[in-house]
Amino acid sequence: MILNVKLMAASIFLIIGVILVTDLKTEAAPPIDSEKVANHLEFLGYETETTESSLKARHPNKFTVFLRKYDGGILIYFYFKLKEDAKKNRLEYLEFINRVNARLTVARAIAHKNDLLKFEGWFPGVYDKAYFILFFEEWNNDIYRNFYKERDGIKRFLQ
Amino acid sequence: MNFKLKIITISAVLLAVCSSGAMAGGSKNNDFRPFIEHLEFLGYNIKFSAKSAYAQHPKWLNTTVRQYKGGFAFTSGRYSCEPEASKAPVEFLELVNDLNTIFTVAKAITDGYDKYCLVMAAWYPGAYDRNRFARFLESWNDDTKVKFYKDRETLLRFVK
Repeated sequence: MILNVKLMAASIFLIIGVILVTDLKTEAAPPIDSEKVANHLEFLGYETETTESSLKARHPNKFTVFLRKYDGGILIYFYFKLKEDAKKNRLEYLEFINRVNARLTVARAIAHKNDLLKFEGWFPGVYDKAYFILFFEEWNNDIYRNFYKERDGIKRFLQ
Repeated sequence: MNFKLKIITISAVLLAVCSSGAMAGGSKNNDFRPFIEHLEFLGYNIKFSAKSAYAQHPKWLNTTVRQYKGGFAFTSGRYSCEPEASKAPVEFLELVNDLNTIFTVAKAITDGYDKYCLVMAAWYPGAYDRNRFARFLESWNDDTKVKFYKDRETLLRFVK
């Protein structure tokens, strides 16, 4: 009986541990100085919305991005949904991601949960206008210029 | 006399310019200097080449630093693959993807098992700022040392 209780307790701790580890990057809050970041993005044409977990920024011509407080800085990210080809041809899909990453400066592409391609970038420290301008400029350069050099893979693997 | 003084002055100025250039890693931009001083303060030994600085540390992974796109690029890596990397490319690329999943600031790439096996890179935006660079460096070291070796068994299956 005591053994069973111990086993149950150990299992519960293990499950909690796994959840914490797997959700390390997703369990978060909006960036520190979220209002300043939102204000900055609004000057760039984004509409922003702050929730308990993130700052969401929508743009009429650009991808909707999410920003969160992470590891003493700001994590920016968004996702693409995959086509079936990416799920069926894992090697070619991972090689495509590797080629994309070789082209990027501040962003990185990650195969996420079998059905998504995640792009993310990390800004070190708290918001500062001059630094954030440089960071976001390079982020946009990565997403809208460098990434699109892999046009064939984008057409084949991404929705 | 005046002519000699001019020559001496010009020589002194040239010497000062050359030596400050060497201290800044051959970089024409003095913005490089505080980054190097910060690294030296933390125990890195710096070797300069024409366009970059090579930072060696007894604890952290050796890193190359160079000016890039209005900021500073950091690269580090392991240059030889085990034969297993080309025999089991999906598993190897899954490892690269797993590293990118847990990294904060670094990005892991491979060149297809040829020129280099696994390289990590990161970019610091803009000029030196002590606190911001400290945050960046902390994450860079955590990525390239702690997180990099988190799954040591799998890593050493593919990377020498």
